[in-house]
Amino acid sequence: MLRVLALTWIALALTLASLSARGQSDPPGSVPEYQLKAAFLERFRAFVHWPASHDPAQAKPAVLGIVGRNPFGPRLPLASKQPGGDARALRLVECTTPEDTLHCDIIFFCNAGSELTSASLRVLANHPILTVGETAEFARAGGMISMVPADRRIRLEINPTRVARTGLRIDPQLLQLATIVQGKDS
Amino acid sequence: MMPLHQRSIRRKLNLVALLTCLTAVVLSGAALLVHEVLTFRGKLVSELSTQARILGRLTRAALSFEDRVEAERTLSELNQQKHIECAILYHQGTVFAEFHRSGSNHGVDPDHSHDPNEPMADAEQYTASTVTVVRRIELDGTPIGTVVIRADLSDLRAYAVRHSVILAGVFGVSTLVALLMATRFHRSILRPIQELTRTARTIAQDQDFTQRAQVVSDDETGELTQAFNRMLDRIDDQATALRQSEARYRILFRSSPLPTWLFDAESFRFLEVNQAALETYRFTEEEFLSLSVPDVCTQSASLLQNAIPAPAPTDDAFQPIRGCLRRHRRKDGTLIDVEVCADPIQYRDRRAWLVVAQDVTTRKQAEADLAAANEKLIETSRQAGMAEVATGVLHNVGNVLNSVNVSATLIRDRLGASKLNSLRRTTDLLKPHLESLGEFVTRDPQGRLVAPFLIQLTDHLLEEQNRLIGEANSLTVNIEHIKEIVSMQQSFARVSGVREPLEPAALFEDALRMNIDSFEKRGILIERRFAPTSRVLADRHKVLQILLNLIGNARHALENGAQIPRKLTLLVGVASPTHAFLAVADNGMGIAPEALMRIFQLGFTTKRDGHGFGLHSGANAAREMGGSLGVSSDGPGLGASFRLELPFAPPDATPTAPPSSP
Repeated sequence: MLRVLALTWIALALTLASLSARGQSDPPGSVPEYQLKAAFLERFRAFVHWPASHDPAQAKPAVLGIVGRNPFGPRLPLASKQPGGDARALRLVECTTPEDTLHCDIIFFCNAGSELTSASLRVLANHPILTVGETAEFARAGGMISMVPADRRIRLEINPTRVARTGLRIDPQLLQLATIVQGKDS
Repeated sequence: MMPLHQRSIRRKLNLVALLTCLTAVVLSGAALLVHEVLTFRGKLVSELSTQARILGRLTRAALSFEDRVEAERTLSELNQQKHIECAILYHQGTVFAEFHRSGSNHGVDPDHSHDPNEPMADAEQYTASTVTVVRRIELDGTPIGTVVIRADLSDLRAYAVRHSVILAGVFGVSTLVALLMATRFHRSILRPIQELTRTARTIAQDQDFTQRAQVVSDDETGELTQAFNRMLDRIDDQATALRQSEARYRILFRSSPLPTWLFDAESFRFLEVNQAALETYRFTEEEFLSLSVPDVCTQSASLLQNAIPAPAPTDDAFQPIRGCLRRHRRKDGTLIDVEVCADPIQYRDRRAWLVVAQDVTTRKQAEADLAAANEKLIETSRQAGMAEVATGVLHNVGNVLNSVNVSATLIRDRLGASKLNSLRRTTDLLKPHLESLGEFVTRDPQGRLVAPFLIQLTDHLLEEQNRLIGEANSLTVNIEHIKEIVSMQQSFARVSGVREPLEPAALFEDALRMNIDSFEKRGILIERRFAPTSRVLADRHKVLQILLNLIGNARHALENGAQIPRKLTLLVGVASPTHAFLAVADNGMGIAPEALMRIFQLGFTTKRDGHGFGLHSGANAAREMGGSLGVSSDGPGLGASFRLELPFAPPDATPTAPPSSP
């Protein structure tokens, strides 16, 4: 019992330290990275068009699956304060198996292990589920959109081939903002 | 600049046409310009609004994913729109991206009045040279930013200037055309008016009313010309009539028997004078017309100061003067009294007074003589009145004195025929037998007759005493009546006594009682026809005086009449619902019709020793009591009837004194 308490305290301390370190890494006056990413995840829904049979707008709230470590907690941070954001419009679920991802509308791969990511991407290969990662290789490695931190902003990379294969359609304005990449398989 | 009313009709018409045309052009041009400017500006705003919406749509993704570079690249596309000075994207209250045309030094002041985290509301803002459109950018119905576009209005100004130039051109052309058309059409309008003006000017200069204007059109001006000519006809006729009338009035003025003159209201110089005035004042016409009013008015408070305000009288001050007596001076200095009547008139463009000054010197003298005669007449009348009073007193007293004389004669006769001598002889018979008076009256044959004689004598004396007392009473009554007559006549028959309810029949009996013996002596039958009536309200003594007079007149008429038997009828009856009558009728000498007309006049009488007062005063007294006295006769020898009517006494009447005379 004492060991459990001690481990809990240690975990809590590490978490606080991690959060404190993350907060100190963001420049003053700027939006924290994951807060910005959370806002982007919300706004993707406005610029991505699902097939009519899978349109998350038909069954609110849409489901945002987190594969890997959940950086947001139970709800998207500050989502409701962002323009165009609605925290209640996205329900967060943590996906621990590739099959869990099939019940989502958007899946955010956050520092997931390459095995789970690869398995999940394979499962989702032909499903109209938007896959978003945060590494530069994600879109090339079978994902659809990568939110890559660059020069104190988030740069988007989109793999339109991958998107088109699943029946999703990206708004041209979003494509205009993003860097178009091609997957390794194409 | 010449005032409008002094300009010619041609200029006025041109001015009216010009102003009308120009007003229409300016108003319509201004309205069109305003409309075009507003339309242009509306289109510009609409265009800017559309561009703002397009920009918002194109920059939604950039705003959503905070891609400033892409946003500014999108805004830079506005460079093709030359009129757009700048465009700015706001995101979360701060400038997210902006575009400024090179050379434009205008910035956009953000609206600080709202929450910076909230996008600005849609709006349009205007300045003198710019218009700014603000539009929200929404993503799925949620505002995510604001786009502001500002454009300059140089195109609008250029458009307005171009439009104004066109308007000025239309203005100028319209003015020219209007002037040309006005000149063309005004000629047809002005010609009849000019013809009228020429004719009127000729008439005014030459006083020639035979001139007529030429009718050159059939429109309203033609009608006006015809009416003008008809008016000239009438003026010509009236001028002729006026000249004739003036001539007539001048003759009347000159030949009027009333002295009449005319003088100036301001200078008081004489202007006209007629022959009667010249004769009255004894001037020649030249002499009189060289004078002024003060030369003939003698009084300091003359007509001038009294009646004529100076120096500038108003219309209200010129009131006619009537019957003002003044004293004027003739040429020879003698004074005459004149009665002045004056009327203000307008004489040859000046104010003047027409004065009739009638010489009343003779009339005033006659009035003074008449006043003196009147005063004398009044004195004579007063004396006559006194004589009338005296006559009345004597007449009425004389009537009563007849009765007094009768009573006194009766008393004297009765006293003369008294049985006192028989009583004395009886006492003389008894004196020798005083010693044996008892034996004498019982045994002596003469003595035995004394006692029955004394008894009979005593009864006789008592009867005689009663008769004398009666006559003495009658005498007292008559003397009292004389006293009343004198008292009443002292107030000249206007002072009445007490009015009281009286029995008409009793009044007749009282009056008859005073004359009964004279009727019996003359063998006059007296008939009484007294119908039952109510009492009358009258003055007892006045009624008795009237009745005594009527009965006395009847006795005189019966004495001088030829009818046998002589009969006096006394009647009492109802004359009307309000009056009773007491009538004295006889069958005596009667009254001639002409005498009937004058019988109640003062001084009229048919008796040789009459005064003509009794019936006159009786009629007056009857009127004073509210009644009347009348007469009727069928003519001489046929008798006469006098009828006195008196008002009935009210049921609750009590003796009342009449109101005192003033």
